[in-house]
Amino acid sequence: MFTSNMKSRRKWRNIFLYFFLTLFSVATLLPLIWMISTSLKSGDVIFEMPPRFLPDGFNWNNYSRAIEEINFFVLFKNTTIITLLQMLSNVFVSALVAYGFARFDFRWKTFWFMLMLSTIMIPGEVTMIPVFIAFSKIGWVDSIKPLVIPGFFGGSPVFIFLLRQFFLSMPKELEESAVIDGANSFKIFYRIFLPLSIPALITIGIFSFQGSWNDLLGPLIYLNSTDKFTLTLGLSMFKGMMKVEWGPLMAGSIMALLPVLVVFFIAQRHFVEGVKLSGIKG
Amino acid sequence: MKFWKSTLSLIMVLSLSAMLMSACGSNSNESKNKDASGTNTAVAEKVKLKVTTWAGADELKEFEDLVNKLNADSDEYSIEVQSIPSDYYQKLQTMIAGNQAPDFMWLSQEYVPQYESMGVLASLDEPLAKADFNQDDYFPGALDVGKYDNQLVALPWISQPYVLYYNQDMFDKAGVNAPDGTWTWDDFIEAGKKLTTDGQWGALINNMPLPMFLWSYGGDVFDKDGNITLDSPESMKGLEMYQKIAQSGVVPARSQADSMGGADMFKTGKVAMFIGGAGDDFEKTSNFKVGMSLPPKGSEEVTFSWIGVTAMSKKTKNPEVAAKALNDMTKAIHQWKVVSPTKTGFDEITKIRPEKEYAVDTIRKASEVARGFNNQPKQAELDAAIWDKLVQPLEKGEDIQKTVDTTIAKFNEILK
Repeated sequence: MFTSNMKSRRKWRNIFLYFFLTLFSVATLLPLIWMISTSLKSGDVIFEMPPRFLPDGFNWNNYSRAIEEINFFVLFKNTTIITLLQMLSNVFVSALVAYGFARFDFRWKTFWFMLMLSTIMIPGEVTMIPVFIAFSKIGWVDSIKPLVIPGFFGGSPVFIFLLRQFFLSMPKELEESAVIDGANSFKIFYRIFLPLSIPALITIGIFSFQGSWNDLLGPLIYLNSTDKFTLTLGLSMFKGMMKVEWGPLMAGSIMALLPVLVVFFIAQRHFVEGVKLSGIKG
Repeated sequence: MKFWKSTLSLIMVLSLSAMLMSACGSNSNESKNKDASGTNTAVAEKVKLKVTTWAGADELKEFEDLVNKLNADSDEYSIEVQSIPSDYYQKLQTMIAGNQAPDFMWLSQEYVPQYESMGVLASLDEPLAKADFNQDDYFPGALDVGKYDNQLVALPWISQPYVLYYNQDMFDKAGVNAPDGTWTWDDFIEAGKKLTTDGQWGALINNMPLPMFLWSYGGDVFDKDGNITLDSPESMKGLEMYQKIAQSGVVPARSQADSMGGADMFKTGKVAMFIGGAGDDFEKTSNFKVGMSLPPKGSEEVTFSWIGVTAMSKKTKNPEVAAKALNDMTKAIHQWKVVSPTKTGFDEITKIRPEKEYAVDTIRKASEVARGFNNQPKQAELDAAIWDKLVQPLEKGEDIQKTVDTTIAKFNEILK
C-alpha cells in the first residue's frame, strides 16, 4: 500500500516535471523553429495575417540569395580567420599574463592588477573614437589588424582575471617539484599550468569564440571594403533603412549559426563546467 | 632572470608572428591593388572618390553597377562605393573624427544641418556652377532640404512625397465616396467616421510627422531662419486639427497601431486610409483595390516628403571634379530610385514601378507641393522634445496652449 502510494506520487511528480520541462523547451526552441520556417517561406507569406507557422513549400532561394547577395562564403572565411586569431590571443596571451599575476611578485603588483581590471569598466563607446584615430594614423583601418593584433599584446582583462583566480587555486607543491626537476618558469607555465587548466581554457575559448563570431561594432568600425566584411556585417545588409528582407536574413542567420551550434555540441560538457567555474554565461 | 629571458623571448616571438601576419595581410592587399590598377592603367590619373551608403545586399549591387557605369564613362573621376550596413551615422561620425571622411555621404534630410554645423560639408554652389547642374529641374521642396545658411550643401536623390492611400473595397462597402484630391482634414474625419466599425478604423495618422499638420495651415515648428514659430496662430490651427483627428475615434490608439505596424494594419484591411510614401508597395502586397490621392489639406496644399541626399565632404581633394561626379551620380540615381526629386527623372516612375502608373498624376502633384522639415543642427534632440512634450500630450487631449508653452521652454533649453 505504502509503496504503491509512493510510486503513484513519484509518477505524478514526473508527469508534472516533464510537463513543465516540455513547455520550457518548446518555448526555447520556438524562435529557432520560427527562424527555420521563415527562412523557407516565400516573400508574401512572411507577412501573412494571421501568421502561418509552416512555410509554403521549401523556398531554397532564400538560401541562394543569402549566399549570392552578400558573398556568404567570403564573409564566412573572414569571420573564421578573425575569430580564430582572437581566440588564440584571448586564450594563450591571457593565460600568460594571468600566470604572471598569479605566481610572481613584483613592485605595485596589486596596482597593476587593479589598473588592468579598471579597463573593464570603461565602456567601449568612450575609447572607440580615439582608438580609431590611433589605428587610422598607422594605416591599419580597413584591415583585420586592429581587430586581432591588440589581443596578442595582453589578452583580454576579463579572461586574465578569470584565469588568475584559477591559477591561484593550484597547489604550489606541483611547481616546487618542477623546480627541483630543473624546470624554468616558462616550462612550468606550459608543462604544468596550461595542461591543468584545460577546462578553464576551453571555457575562455568558447566565450571568446562566441564574442568574436557575433561581434558587430568592431568589424563595422574598422572594415570598409565589402570583401573584408564579417558575417554579422553581411547579415545586417538585409536589414535596410526602409525594409527588412526577412527570408534571406533568416536563411543567412541559420547558416551563420551552424558553426556556433557545432562548437556548442562539441564543447557542451565544458561549457556547462565553465558556467559553474566562472559563474557567468555567454 | 631566467623567467624574464623566456618571457621576453616569448613576447618577441608573439609580436614577430603578429607583424608577420600583418605583413602578409598588407602584401596581399598591395598585390590586389596592383591587379586592379594593372588591368586599367587609365585609372591612375582619375580623381579617386568614395561614397558611403546604407544600401545593402541587392540595393548595394545595383548602386555599385550604377557607379561602375559612371566610372567607365568618365576619364576624370573614379568613384568607389563603401557600404555601411549597420549603425550608419555612428560609423560615419567615427570616420570623420578619424580624418577618414568619405568624399560623398548619403544622408537623411534631418542630418544635413547637423553635419553642416560640424563643419564637415562643402558648399556646392561654386563647384556645381561649373558642372552641368540644372537647379530648376529639381522640385523646390526637395532641393530646400539640401540648403543650409543659404548655400547648397547636398543634392537630393530621392523624394518620396506622402500621399493618401485608400482601400477602395472598404469605401465601396461603406458607401463612401473615395477621396478626389480636394479633401480637407474635416472631410477626412467625416469619411473616417463612416468607415469606422468594430475592430476597423477609418484612418491612421501616427506614422505622419506632426509638422505636416502645421504646414497645412501655413505654420511650422521653425521658420527657415531657425526661429521658433510653433506658437503662431497658423501653427496652433494645425495642432488643433491634429488633436481633433487623434480624438475623433476614427484612428486606432497609438499603442495598437505601433504594435501591429501602421502599414501592416492598412495592408490587412484594418484601416481604410493610410498616409505614406508614394513609393510604398501596397499595390503589390495587399489583396484589395488600392487607390491613391493627394493628402487632405487645411488652408494650404502641402505634403511631407521623405528625402535622401548626398553631401560632399570639405576634405575632398579636388572639389571641382568631385562636384561634377556628384552631379552625374545624383542624376544617375534619379533614373534608379522612386520617386525622383527632379522633373526629368520623375517620368521614370512608370518604367521602374509599372504598378504606380494609375497614380502618376497624383504623385506628380504631390511632388510639386512636397517639402521636408526646416531641420536644425540639433534636430535629433528637438524631435525627442516634440515627441515627448507635444505629440503625446496632444494625443492624450491636454490643453494645446499649455503643451506648446512647455515644448517651447524645452526648445529654448536645447538651443541655449
